[in-house]
Amino acid sequence: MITVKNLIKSYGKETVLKGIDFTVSEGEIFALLGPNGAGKTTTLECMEGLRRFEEGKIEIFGETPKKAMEQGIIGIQLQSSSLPANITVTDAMKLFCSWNQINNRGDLLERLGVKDLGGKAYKTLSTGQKRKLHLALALTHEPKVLFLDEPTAGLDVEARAHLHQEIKTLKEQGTTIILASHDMAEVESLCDRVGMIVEGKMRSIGSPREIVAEVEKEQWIEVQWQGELPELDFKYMTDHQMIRGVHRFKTEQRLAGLREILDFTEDSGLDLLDIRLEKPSLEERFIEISKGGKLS
Amino acid sequence: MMKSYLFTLYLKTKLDLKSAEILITYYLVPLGFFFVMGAVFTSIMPEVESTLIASMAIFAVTMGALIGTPSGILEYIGVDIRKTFQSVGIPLHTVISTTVISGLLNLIVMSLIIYLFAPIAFGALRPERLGLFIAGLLALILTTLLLGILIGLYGKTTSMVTMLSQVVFLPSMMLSGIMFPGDMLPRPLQYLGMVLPATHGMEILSGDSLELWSFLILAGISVIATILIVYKLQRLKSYS
Repeated sequence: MITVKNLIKSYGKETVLKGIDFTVSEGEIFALLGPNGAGKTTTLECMEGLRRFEEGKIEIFGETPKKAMEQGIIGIQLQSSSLPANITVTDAMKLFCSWNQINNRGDLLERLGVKDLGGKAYKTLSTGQKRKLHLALALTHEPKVLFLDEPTAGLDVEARAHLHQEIKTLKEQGTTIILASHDMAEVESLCDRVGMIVEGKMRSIGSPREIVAEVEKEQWIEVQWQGELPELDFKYMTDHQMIRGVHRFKTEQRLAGLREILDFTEDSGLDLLDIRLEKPSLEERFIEISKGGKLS
Repeated sequence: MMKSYLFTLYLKTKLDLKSAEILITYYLVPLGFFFVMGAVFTSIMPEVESTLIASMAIFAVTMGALIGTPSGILEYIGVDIRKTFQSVGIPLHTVISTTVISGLLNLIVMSLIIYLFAPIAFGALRPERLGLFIAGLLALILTTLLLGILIGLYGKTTSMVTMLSQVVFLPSMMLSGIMFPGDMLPRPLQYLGMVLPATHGMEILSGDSLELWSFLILAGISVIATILIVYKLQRLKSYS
């Protein structure tokens, strides 16, 4: 279990984390979401033992972050991980294994698809290759907890899919993963729970489904008709938009709203081409929370 | 831990040898300067035969340590690599100490090249007291490397590091007595030269007697540099 309690961190006079609280269960994939400068990376770096914090408590499987790092409980892939320009992939792996006091893990290079790059200098690797290498380096000592900061930023579709698969495999093996990301699709497909940080505060926390459900009572119904449309007068619709021939109705009572549309279609003799309920996405919820919208 | 440290030292030395910047500042420029200036000095001032090895070795050490070392430190201590190293538990002092040892080895090799070839190429005279020469050379290399590391640690950008390196390097060339005798300089510049390791390196390497005062000044500069390095490392380590 990982616990972050009332985490407060300042840079000079500016307080960037204003009392962050959350827990992460063993084997869970937990994502920190938030706009740029919200405090995601700072939260991660405090948890990784790379930053001091003024107040609060962080426990990683019963240890302080620093001890967790020293004991090899955690593995870290930083947002801006880097290595000396001329170090080769093989030497980087040897260096990390050496400091983790384990035998060389060439198998990880193979698993992440960078073994063929063994003799290449770090400076000559592509962004994707560097990301894969840093993930391999973070996994050398088989950590119980893995921190990933923007793990797929700047990657092409194939590399992204490969890394997603790798993250899923790690979860299956029981690794607890905490990641920060801007990629909503990534978060929705990978993570068990999400915490949204805005202006240094945890504004919403739960599974992607739960977070979206907070606003699910307000939904859009999309309808496409064929035929002469009579005047629209709906009781359960609070808003109406027309986008490229598709009518969008906002409703807080979806069943009554759907029934009303179906009755209207039947009464007016229109041909119904398409009707669908449009659920709010995590991205829309994220934007709403970022703008200071409804809070949980 | 010792095994990890030794592997890091091996890797640092290997990376330094592969670095174009180290190759240029530790070897190519000093060698070029050695051959050109050796030829010029010995033809216009035949009496420099006795100080040629000392002055060329001091040039090589000052060039390598003050121009080559800081940029390497800037790369390793830069926030991205530093955090990556910290994430696996590589201590910052390991980066510093491996830089010193690797630099020491390279500068000894370069000085040895000068020591061996100067008599053959330019008829330079080898120092009479070899032990004193070696002790002085090691003291000079260590002090100058510490200064180079200090510049790399405190200069926040490449341009600032370059400027700081030149602020120490150029006076070292002009005021230390390796290009022309220091007593030809105006008195204020002679005093200014007294704070430069190269000046005391020249005193020790070109003389045949023990220049205890120069050794003490080199030791003093090293102690001050070490204190400032440790202070900076503590600040970087806390990473607040």
